Amino acid sequence: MDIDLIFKIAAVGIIVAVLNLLLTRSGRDEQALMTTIAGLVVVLVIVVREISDLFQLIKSLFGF
Amino acid sequence: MDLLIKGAAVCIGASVLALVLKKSNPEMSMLIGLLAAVMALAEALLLFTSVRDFLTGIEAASGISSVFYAPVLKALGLSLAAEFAANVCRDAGQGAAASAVEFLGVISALYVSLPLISSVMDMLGRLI
Amino acid sequence: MRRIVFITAIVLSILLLSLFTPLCAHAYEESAEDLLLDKIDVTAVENAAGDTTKELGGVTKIASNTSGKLNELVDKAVSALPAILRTGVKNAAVILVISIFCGLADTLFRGGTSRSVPDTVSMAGCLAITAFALTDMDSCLSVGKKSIEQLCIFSKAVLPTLSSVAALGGYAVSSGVKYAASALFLDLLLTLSENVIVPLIYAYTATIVAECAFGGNSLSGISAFLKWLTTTVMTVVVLAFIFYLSISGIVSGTADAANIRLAKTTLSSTLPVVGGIVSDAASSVLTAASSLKSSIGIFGMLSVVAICLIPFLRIGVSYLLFKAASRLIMIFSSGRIPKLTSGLGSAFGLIVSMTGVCAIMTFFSLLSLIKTTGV
Repeated sequence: MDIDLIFKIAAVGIIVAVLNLLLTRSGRDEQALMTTIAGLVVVLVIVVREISDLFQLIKSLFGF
Repeated sequence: MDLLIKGAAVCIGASVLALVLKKSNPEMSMLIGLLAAVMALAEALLLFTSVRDFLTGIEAASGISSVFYAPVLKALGLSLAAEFAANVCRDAGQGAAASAVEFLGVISALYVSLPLISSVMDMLGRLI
Repeated sequence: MRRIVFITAIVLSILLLSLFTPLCAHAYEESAEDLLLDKIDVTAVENAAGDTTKELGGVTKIASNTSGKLNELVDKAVSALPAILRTGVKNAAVILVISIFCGLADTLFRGGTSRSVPDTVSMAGCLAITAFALTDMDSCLSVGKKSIEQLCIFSKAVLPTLSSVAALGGYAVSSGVKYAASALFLDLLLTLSENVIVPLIYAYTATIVAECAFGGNSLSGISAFLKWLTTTVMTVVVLAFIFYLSISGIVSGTADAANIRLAKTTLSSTLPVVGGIVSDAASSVLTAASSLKSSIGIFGMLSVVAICLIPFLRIGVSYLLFKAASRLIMIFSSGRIPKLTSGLGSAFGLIVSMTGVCAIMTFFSLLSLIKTTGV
């Protein structure tokens, strides 16, 4: 539960958005799409891990 | 109080960032909001451990078996998880998935309360 | 000379006789009570009263120390009170904790879009509180039933004894009538309470639980009706008993009073001197009978109090605590859980009134047999 994780993800998101913008402006749509998907996958992995941790916590706390 | 400030700061910051990214990368904005919610919830649950210890203390002191209020606790946890998941789905715009998760939560809570229902029925049915 | 001696002897003998009469009557009075005690078996009464009344001592010693014995009973009850309160408060605390949980869930999800998910927490909470209260209610019901049975056994021993003493005291007709009425109505109440009132209490609890756990307002009418039905059944039985006893008592009591007066005047008028002695001896028997009757009666009433006091405390404490918990819960959570707790408290109240009705009827029959003039 570190506040840094949020900022890290936010940084990743902003970088991906900026790269996306640059690449689409310079006409490389496929690379833009690939960066977006890559960033999405990274963030998704982290978020899924956090969600799984949360549900484990609920499970142990409420006596399952 | 510190915990609340930290959680509030995280959520507010994440909401603002999500708004920034909403037009260009809507999926990223949703993931940021989701992450903030998960973290705040985890903090709240860590606080809840002290309440749960208090409950265990009462159980030990009064000698009441846990059969009585274990289903209540489990139902609370189930409804928490189900409500959270449903809201996430709704944030992503999937109302059908949200209501499906809610229904699943209700059914699971009912399933967990089944021993309680049957024991109450037994006790009441002794008049027959 | 001889005539003077003769007249002196007659005057002396008349004087001695007139002095002797009150002494005779006094001796009669004392031995009359012993005679009566020999005839009437009070040990059966004392045994039927059970262990709770062993401290009350025998019937003969009771009349001299009534207030002392009453204080002893009250002290015993007060000393048993802390233990009862402690278990009751523990139960109430667990119920409060469960309802705090449900209130927590309610407030947590108040802003949520769906209502079905947190409702399951309320349902589980209602069921948990009910399961918990049902164990308490089971023990309270068994305590109440046991005291009703004990009251019936005791009344079967004390009422015949009391009525035969009252008959010896000259009130034959009214005592017979009152004993018959009391026995009839007490038996009626016993069968009613086993076969009608206890199932009604269970049914009321079931409807309250179903209404609060699974929602739905249609069941609230049924539960209110069941509660009304139970109270009405008990009220009708008590009122019918009192009414019947009053009417029959008045009718037969006047007949008995007339009989006693007639017997006394007949006795004293037919036999000139001896008639006075016999009539005095008869009234001393009557007085002894009435004092024995009041001793037995006081013993009976104190035994009824002793039998019923601690069960009343136990069930009454549960009732009060459930009602108090319901009020407390209403502060931080409206809706079904306070209604459930209040309904469970009413069920306990029904148990209290069931036991109380039986005690009142026994009391009343004892009282009417003691007085035996009018009601």
